[in-house]
Amino acid sequence: MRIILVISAILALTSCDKDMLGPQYAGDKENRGGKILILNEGSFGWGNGSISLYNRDTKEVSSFVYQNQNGSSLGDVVQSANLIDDKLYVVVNNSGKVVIVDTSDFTHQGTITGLSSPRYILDGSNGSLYISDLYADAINVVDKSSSSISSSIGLDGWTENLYLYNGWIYAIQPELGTIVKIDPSTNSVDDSLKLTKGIGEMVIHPSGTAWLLSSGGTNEYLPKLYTIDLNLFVKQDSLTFNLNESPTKLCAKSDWSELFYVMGNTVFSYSTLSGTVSHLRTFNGTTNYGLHNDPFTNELYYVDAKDYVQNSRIYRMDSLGQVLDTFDGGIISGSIFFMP
Amino acid sequence: MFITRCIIIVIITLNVLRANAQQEDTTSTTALSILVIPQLPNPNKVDLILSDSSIRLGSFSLLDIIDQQSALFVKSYGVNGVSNVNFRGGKAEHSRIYYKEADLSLLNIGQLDLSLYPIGAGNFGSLSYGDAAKELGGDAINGALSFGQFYTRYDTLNVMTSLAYSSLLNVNGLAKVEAKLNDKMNASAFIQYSGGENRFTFTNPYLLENKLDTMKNSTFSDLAGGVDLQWKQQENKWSFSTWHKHLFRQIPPGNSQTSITDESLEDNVHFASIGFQRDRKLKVSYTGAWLANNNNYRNALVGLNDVNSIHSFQNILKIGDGRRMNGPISWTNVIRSNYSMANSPGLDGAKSIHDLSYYGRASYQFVHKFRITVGLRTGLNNSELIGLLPSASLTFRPKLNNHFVVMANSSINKRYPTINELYWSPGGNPNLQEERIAITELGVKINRKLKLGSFSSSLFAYHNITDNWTQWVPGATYWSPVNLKQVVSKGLELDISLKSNQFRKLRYNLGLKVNYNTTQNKEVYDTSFVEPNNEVIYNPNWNVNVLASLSYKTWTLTYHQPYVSRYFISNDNLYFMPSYSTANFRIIKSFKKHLSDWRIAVSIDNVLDWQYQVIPGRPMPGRVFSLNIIYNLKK
Repeated sequence: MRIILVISAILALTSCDKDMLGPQYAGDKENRGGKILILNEGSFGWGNGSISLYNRDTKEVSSFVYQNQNGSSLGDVVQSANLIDDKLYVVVNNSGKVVIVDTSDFTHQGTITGLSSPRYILDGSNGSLYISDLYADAINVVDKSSSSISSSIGLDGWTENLYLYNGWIYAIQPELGTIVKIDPSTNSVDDSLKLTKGIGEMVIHPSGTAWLLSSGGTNEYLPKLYTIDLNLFVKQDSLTFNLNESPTKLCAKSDWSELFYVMGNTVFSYSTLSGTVSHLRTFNGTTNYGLHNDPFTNELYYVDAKDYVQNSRIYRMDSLGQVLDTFDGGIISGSIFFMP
Repeated sequence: MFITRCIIIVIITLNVLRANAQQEDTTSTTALSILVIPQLPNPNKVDLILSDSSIRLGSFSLLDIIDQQSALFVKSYGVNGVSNVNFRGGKAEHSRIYYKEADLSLLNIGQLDLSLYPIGAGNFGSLSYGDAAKELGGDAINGALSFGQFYTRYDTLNVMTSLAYSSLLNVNGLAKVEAKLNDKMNASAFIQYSGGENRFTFTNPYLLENKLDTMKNSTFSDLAGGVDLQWKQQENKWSFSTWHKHLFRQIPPGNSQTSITDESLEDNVHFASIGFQRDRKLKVSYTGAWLANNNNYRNALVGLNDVNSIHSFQNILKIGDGRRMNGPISWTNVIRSNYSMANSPGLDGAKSIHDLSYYGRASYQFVHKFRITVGLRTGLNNSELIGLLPSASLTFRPKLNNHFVVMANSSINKRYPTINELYWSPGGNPNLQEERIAITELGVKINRKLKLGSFSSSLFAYHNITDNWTQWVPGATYWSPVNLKQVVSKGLELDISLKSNQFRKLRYNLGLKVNYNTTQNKEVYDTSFVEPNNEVIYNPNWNVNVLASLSYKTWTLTYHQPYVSRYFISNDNLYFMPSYSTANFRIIKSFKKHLSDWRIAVSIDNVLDWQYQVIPGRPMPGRVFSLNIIYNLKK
């Protein structure tokens, strides 16, 4: 009789998990971050850049949320966005502007104009916004209160991603392969670090260790994953790839234990603990256009831009490569923004 | 098989201790005028397992473990847990497998991988928990599994064959001959094969419509053979043993990597040893062993092969082996040396490590109540002193003839990274530091003879603190080891069994094993990477096994219900694998014909068709039927 009770107790214990299969999320499902915004570049020259809204719990997608609210398109080639003072600053590259949007209802709040070919925007935490540019040979400095350009920092060539660490601004120059260190108190260049052509996204650990991928251009230099100490502003090579490989789209898990990147249409993970690389998943027949890590759930979003005309297909997967959902974004879903 | 060690004390002798000291350990009493006082056990948990008996490792016999381990998946974590054999929250890599004293785990890729060991090479084993593993002279900090070949004294010929076929399309076969060639010589030879294709349907939750998927493209074959010789010259015993095992596995694609179907793994394992034993008052034994593994992993993604070649040369010298040295003091001395070499194309030249260690232990028994044991381990690792690693323990029995024993021990040990942890290509970490563990154990054993039968139970509590804990971190295709600064593991182990007497040709056994463990990383080197106070990955808090068997005449029905609780698979404890519990039934018909024993068993594993994964993306089979025929000729 007692043994039957024990067996019954075990069965009762186990029955609660019988419907679960495979990895399960253990965190607080009620606090898994806010909205997920898909920024769709739109077709170049068509002026149909848009924002889609994805709900990670219901898996529902709402398209053209800005256009539906405001009756007009965002503009041509929605490049990137940043959340600044609870407002979303959307950089619209080919329209030469930054659109300021209320994140609660997506109403238009203002526009920064007069830009050449803006790429990324950063809050300098000093009352100024910094906007990189493809053709301006400069980073534009914008007064945050008036949304008008106040000055610029002259730089050679194309500047891309901007980062703020420990009070310094770091600007990526893909063509020159340099990271430029800028003092926001004087808006002048303090230092630069030469890497190789084709550097792209950088992820920065709170301790000042940063990782940065270089594609090496088109078979010009060996592609590399660099580890950079931002405090000392020195580099070291972590990984060197073959000349015909082209690693891109670097992102990091929120505990920094793994980095993820894409080569071709295969996603790889790089362990920052052991320095080893693992194949995560291959998306055959897709056109890689992005890989993004949701910092609230550590789920990855792989973007297939298809033929750049159709809506992109987005694959949501866990950090082990198991696909949890697939859904359609807009045309060329270039960025995904995870709201807190 | 258990040889009850007894101390015979002549009670009419006034000088009790002196009389005690003059007696050798024996299993029999010789006169009415003596009282047998069982020698108090070591204060450690040690279980014995046999290949074909009901004595089991956890829930499985040796045969079960190795058979099931070899069938599914590459480096599978096997049945009944997320690791083949893990002790007290430690990962399998914190444990050791010994065969004839030689450390086989040096060849493994991190886990305590039983798939490299051929079951035919031995016929018994023991499981040493915690500090007891140190007795083997090595640096297993959480436990050890050791195998050996035991020749039955009276058989002149023992032919064993087993053939198993399962609905997974797997076939396992083992043929073994043990022979007593003459009064001085025993010999055995075996050949075993295991092969087939993992083909079963499983639920794939990531398919949008028809969620049933089929496991395919994963054939495997294991072939092993070997010989063992033992001969005696007066009190000297010599032995020679060698075996070879070849494994080939195609890695199943899993449900996360549908595009990769052409990965495979091949192991070629060689083992040879010579042994010498002089069984006089001063018992001395020596084992010299060579083992090698050539491992070839075909990485279909990059179209390249990862090749690893590892050799190990080991010497083990034992003096004393628990014999009494002087008066009531018994002693054991173990000197162990190892030289391991890795020579793989992925490395920058050949790499090697070497170590030499000494372990000494002395026990003193106060009549029948107390036994005190002190031990010391020291040595050199790559020419550097490993320091002094002490241990102390106490066994207490309140009353003579009372089957209630309390045991306690505390010790320190170190485990240095193995050659494959340092240099396995890819994944090895040459910067790995040695682990240092402080173990505290407290246990109670109660055995009772009841009207119905016999009742035995034990309850052990332990608390382990490990500095520089080696944690294998999973990647999508392979794992890599890193150090966590400090990990604390604590838990309880409850073991209850009831064996009934035979009643009208009916007999039953009931068993319950409950293990609770929590293992947390208390301190980490960089809190930004791994949060402290998180549970280490792949460690279920609960592991419960219910066992029951009912025998009537020549029929036996067995039932086994394991339960493995949830366990985290990410260092941030944000992802976990669900708990699982598979009910397994087996009906066995045994009969004798002339000199031979037959056993025919029909098994149904995972009766409830529980869909589960032990490793993410690697589905485990649902309901499996198998037929097992065992033939044993004893002459």
